[in-house]
Parts: sequence; C-alpha cells; structure tokens
Amino acid sequence: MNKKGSKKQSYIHEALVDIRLSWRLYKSNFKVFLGAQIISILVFLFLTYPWEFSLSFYFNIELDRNYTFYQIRSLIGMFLILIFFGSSFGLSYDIMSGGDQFTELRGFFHYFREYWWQYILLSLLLLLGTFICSLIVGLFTVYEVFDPTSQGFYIILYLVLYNVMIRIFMYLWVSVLIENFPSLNYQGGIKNAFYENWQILRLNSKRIFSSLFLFFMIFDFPWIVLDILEISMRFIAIEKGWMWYLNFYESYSQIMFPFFKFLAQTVFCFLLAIPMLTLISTRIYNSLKLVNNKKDE
Amino acid sequence: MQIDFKKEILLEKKISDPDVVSVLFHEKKQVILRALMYEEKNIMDLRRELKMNPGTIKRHLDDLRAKKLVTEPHVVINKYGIKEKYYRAMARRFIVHLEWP
Repeated sequence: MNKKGSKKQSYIHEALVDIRLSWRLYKSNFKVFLGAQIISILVFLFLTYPWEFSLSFYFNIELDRNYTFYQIRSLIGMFLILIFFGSSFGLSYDIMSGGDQFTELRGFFHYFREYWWQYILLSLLLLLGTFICSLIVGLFTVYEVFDPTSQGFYIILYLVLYNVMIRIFMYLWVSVLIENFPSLNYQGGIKNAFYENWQILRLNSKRIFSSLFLFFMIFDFPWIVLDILEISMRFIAIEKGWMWYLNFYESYSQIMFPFFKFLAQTVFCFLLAIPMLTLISTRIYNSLKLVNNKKDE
Repeated sequence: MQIDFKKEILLEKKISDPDVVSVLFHEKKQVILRALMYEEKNIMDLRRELKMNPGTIKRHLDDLRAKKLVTEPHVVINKYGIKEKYYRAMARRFIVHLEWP
C-alpha cells in the first residue's frame, strides 16, 4: 500500500479508536456524566423552555403574561447551558488528563467557577454557526424565485437544505472550533486556546475531520434520517391520499409526537452526544498534543 | 514527581506514629494496601478488583499517600494519549511498634 493510502487508513483507525475509547470511558464515568447532564437538562427545561405556557394551555390557568421576565429567564438559562456545556469538557479533561481515569461531580462545578466566561464565549462561537446557517437556509427558503405554489418543491428544499446542509455546516463549524475547549482546560487561557486550536487544526485537520465525521454519523445522522422520514411520510401520505395516516398525525400525534421527539432528542443529546463529543475532542487533543510534543523533541 | 519503579520495594516498614497506625488499621485502606503490595495498579484496576467506588478509592489512596504507606504515583501517558497514575504499597509488610504510656 502506498504512503497516502496507509495515512488515510491511520486516520480512520484513529477515529475508530476515538469512539471506542471514549465510549469505554463514558461507560465507566456514566454516573458523573448522568448527574452533570441531568442538572443541564433541568436548567434547560425549567429556565429556557416556557413550560408555564404549556401548563396554562392544558390546565386553564391564568398567567401574568410578562414576557420580559420569561425572556430574561431564558437568557440566564441559555448562559447556564453554555457554561455547563464547557464544564462537561472539564470532566473529560479530568478523566483523560487527571491520571485516574475518573472524575467526580464536584469537578463540574469547579470548571464552572473557573472558566465560566470563557465557556460562554466559546460556546457562543459554536452556536454562531447554527445561527449563520439558519439565516442562510432561511433566506433561501423565502427567496421568491421559487414557485410558491409548489408544495412538493418546498418539502424537498426543506429536506435537502435544512436537514442536510445545516448538519454539514455544523459538522465543519464544530470541527474547526472544538479543540478550543480541551485546550482551554489544559492551558487555562482563552487566547492560548485559540492559538493552539488553530495550530492543531492547521497541522492535523484530517485527523479532526475524520473523527468528528464519525461522531456526526453515529450521533446525528439517525436524527436526520428520522426527520427526513417524518416529512417524507407526510408528503407521501398527501400524494397517495392515506387519510388514516394524516388523521392520526393531525389529531393525536400533532401535539404528542413532536413533544416526545423533542424530549428524546434532548435526553439523547445531553446524556450521550455531549459527553461523547467532549471525550472524543479531549482524546483528539491529547493524542495530537502527544504527537506534536514528540515531533518537537 | 516520577519514581523509578525498577528499584525494589521495601520488604518491611516499621511504624510507630499512632496517626499512621490508625490509618493502617482502617479496614478498607488495608484492602487497598494489600492489593498494591505485589503490583502497581491504577484506580480503575483497583475499582475492578475491589468493586469499590473510584472516588472512595482515591480518597483512601490520598490518606495512605499522606502517611507514606503508598508511594507517589508513577505517571505514564499510554499510547492512547491518556494519562495514567499507578500506585504501589511502600512495603510488603508493615510492623507496628507502639508503646503506651
């Protein structure tokens, strides 16, 4: 096999090791991640999600509709979630670089206190990718060059643009920025983290992109398929006239299905995808740092 | 601090400090110490072997280290880029000398 081929194989091998190793460490530290992520889920659901409105809808309760209060509360919740996201990287740093391959829940709060504003900044930068992409996709979908009466075309546009392009863009965006987090935990300074992230990306982009590609395929792709399947089924049902499906979808599941899907996605994302992402990126950082240090020697 | 683990482990160590004795006679600490007498192990190894919570093991190890019953950890970075700390007992046998009053 030529040198290029063996290098490619080594990237794939490393990506597989990243996933396997992270999974093993995730399992052995499951309780800590569970505790940390339950805190995140509770903050997310109680502070950022307007649950009072849902309750008032179901139980006919009169609410003081002071939207500013809810907006401020959501904003605080959002910032907390961003810090919790960064603190999860701290837990992974403890596991991979602490020496004992385990962490404790108090570590989560330690990193929260230590790097809260840096985590907000870096997480906002990650979110900026979603915002930019949503904006681009949104602009495309309202662009009047398309025939507005063509329902099928819009569905296809939605399928392709939103569900696939946004994910590809997010994959690239996350891959470019993710090593900032382990670097921040390792070095303690955001400036150095940006510099080191850039250096690692410049020298080892293929390694990062291949590992993160595998991560997105395992942890994000099933949701894309589910989204596409859901929309396609509706489209097919309209075309074929499957009233039983449309009736079912429009009545009972109109409220319940999106709610359970949202709940399942939230739990999956917080309990599995985020801890795995933090472990994978910390493992990438450690192994590349090791390689680069060896090169320097 | 890195320790050269090629050097032989002490065959026995005499203890006369009552504070150290109280740590040595703690039931769980004894179990951990016994596991580290013939082989250096990390916390995950001890966890598998002793079926104890890693946090509990860590705290006991810290106490044992503070009283010099366990050596400073031998730090290695494995081929996967993960740092690992290996612990070992200071001696194969501990002899307690206590006089009172």
